Amino acid sequence: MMLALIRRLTFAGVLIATVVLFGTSLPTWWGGHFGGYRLLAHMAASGVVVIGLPLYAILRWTDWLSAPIPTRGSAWTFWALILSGFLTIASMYACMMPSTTTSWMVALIDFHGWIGATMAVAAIAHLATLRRVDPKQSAT
Amino acid sequence: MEYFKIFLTKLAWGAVLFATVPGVSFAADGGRRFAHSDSDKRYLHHIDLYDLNNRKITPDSDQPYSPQNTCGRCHDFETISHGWHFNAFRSHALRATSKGSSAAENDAADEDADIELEQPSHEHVVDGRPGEPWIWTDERTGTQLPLSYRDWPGRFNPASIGISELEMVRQFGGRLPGGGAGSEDERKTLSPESDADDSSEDAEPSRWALTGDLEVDCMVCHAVSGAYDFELRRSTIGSENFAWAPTAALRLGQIDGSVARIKEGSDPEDPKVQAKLPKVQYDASRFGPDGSVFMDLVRHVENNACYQCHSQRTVTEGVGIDERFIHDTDVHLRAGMKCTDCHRNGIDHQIARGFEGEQHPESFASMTTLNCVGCHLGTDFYLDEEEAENSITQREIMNRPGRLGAPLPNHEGLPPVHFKKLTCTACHSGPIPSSTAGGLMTSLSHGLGDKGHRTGPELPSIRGPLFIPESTSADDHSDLDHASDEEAHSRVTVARGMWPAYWGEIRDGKVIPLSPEKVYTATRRSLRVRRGFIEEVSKPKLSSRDLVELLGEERGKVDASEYTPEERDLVDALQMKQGEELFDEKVALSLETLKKELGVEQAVYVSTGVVYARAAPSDPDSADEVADAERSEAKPNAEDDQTEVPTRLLEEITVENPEAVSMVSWPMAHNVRPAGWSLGATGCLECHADDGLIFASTVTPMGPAPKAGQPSAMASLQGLAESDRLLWNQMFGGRKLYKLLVAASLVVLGVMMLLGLAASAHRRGEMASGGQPTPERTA
Repeated sequence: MMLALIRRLTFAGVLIATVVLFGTSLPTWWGGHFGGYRLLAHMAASGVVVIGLPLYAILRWTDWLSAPIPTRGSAWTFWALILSGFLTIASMYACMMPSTTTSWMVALIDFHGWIGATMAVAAIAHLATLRRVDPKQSAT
Repeated sequence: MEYFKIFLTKLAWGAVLFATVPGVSFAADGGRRFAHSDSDKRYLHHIDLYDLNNRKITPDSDQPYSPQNTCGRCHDFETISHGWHFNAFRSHALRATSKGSSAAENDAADEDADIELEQPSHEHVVDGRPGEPWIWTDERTGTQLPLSYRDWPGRFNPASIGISELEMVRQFGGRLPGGGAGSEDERKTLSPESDADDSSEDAEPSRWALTGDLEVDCMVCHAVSGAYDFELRRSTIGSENFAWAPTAALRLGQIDGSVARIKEGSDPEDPKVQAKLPKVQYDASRFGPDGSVFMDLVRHVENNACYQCHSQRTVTEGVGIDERFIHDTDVHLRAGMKCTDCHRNGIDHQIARGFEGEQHPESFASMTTLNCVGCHLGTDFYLDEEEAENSITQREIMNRPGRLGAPLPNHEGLPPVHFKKLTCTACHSGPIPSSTAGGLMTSLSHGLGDKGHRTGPELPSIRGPLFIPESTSADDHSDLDHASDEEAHSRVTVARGMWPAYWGEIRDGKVIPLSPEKVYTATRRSLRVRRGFIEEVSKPKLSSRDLVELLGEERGKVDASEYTPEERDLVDALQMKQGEELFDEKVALSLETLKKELGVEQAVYVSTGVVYARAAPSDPDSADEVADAERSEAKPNAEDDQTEVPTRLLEEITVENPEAVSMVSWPMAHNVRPAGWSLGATGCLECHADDGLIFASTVTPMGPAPKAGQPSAMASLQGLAESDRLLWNQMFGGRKLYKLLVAASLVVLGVMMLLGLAASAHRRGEMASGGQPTPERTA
């Protein structure tokens, strides 16, 4: 019961942080650049995802190891979230390395934006598919 | 019509490209009107010299040679004389007339392209990024007044404050290569209103007739190093022998006589006055058998010529001028480049200043890419993906990086946002920064190059390096085409700065400088400064008795260099105290004098960002304070004064034009340091830490007044809130830990994905072997 609460809270944290990340990045889609409080909020939210996503992955996946397994939709959105989250974090991590050149960094940041948006979609989709499962869970 | 314009444009481009190819010169210098050597080799100039009246000069002549009549025989002097350096004293006039002429020029653009080439229109004034002002410095009156005819913020137009062109040439001509107001032809084109404002209109023409013109002197820049005596040129101009300066500087002969010794207002038509005019005794050995003179010159100007006006020295507070040997030179020069490799020009002499977005009259790529980004990163560096695809890089090789062999910087680990927040020079140029901006001395402001006994604190007090937003200028300094104005103008750059100090008047709530010459004449008696305002008023030398009383019998007699830091503080404090009292007395008295003698309503003195005015009288008798001050002035160090409660004779007032008293700044570009010495080369924390110099270093207003200005952090000058900066720094402080955390997160996620794949494969294996899949979580 406690684990389920932690799992749900973790996902809630990841979901909210993802929304914040997407929201704060929105102006850059029209040619602006990050700075000031917007970037600060983006960085703070990224910390939540960096910690929360692997934690949620562990909690959710270990929960699914025991039968019954999740619905197919739920599983697909889960892995989509994990994969896109991994790539989002990795693309930013590469930018933080002191060996990334400007042209690579520009490409990585561009990629980071697109894959981050994909992650936001995956997170919302995962929430939607979870909702379909949860009533059934409660019926067990 | 549109096609015709495109045709003209292409035709002009073609001509320009031809002109850049050696041996195929077809430059915009009047086409074939003037001869070309059309080779990269030096053309030996064994030429005849001509005087102002176009008479050939022989060893027996006594008139100076005229560069215009000599060089202008083979070169397009008219086009050349409107170049960047030569229009320093005429851009205001051009600006005033450019609007009126723009319509006519537009019409002319529709005419034949040949006409365009023969008469290139370079009369559009593009003042561009602010540069160093002409700082009128008078140590005796505590004046450091930034002037410029260019429309740059914080500078005063000399014409608007009653400084005549003659005074400007007399004051700064030694650092002006001629032209502009120094030339009669140009003076005729100056705006009528500037003449009208000139109170000395009647006297000036006669003086110009005596001094002669300060013509554009080609040899100032083109003479080989050692062939041109800049010192002699400056002293000749100092003697008001303007027309004789080119002859003297080439040491073609000896100049006997000085216009400066001829009384003001003398009639130039008077034979007695004419007899006093300088005469030249030519050195006959300089003339060849055919009467020609060898002019040892080069087309590609040598660095030494640039250094005459573009040198800089750093000053350490309390130590003095830093030794030259501790400084490395600019990396570009170390690599074997010359100033003119980048700061080049065509026949129009519109020298590329080399900053991004420069609105150069020759708006073709080979000129507009002559800046940091153009050579090192290519002009497409700032373009986004779509723009880059459509850029002209695909067609123009010149726009690619690597020009002149410039290395392509990787800027590894540097987030691209830095290129939008900082100019290249912010990290790569200028003196190595320290926690406080130091003193700077420049050729233009401190006469570097002249033999002298400079110690460092001489006025004007210029501070740097400063890390401040790029200044906006009145006309096009659009910077990056892709960037919004806000972005372009908010980029932080490295700069120099100074706080104006001058005597002025309050008019409609605004402070307006008074003519420094008039101020000096009016305040000679009230200030009674012989050498310098600072050492005699603001920071007077303490008497032996004061020192003994302060430090004791023994220590009071030792040399100042032997003081301990505590003793130095004590001495400084007493000097400051005495200076404040003396400053109050003498400045108050001088303000009253100016009020009476110059007829101004309220005179003020401006220094270190403060406007000093005479304090309002507290009672009817307080008007006598001036008289009291005058009496006490005779014995400024009287002991009794120290025990009395000082009565402030001055008050600090605010004005409606604070920009007239606040810091005036201009970017610096050199010396460029090696990449390893750039800011941030060691990582983020070099700047994003509480003591990161680009944000945390400070600059303190300095000026002649005995007022310790409040240091300002660069972050505050950049408009950053200190709390925000500290918050940011905390984020960077935990960056290493965060990197570890991110790495751990990636490892966990990676492992999870592998496990997921393994589990999926396992399930598929079970299904393939006929096992039952685990049922979905259903009721």
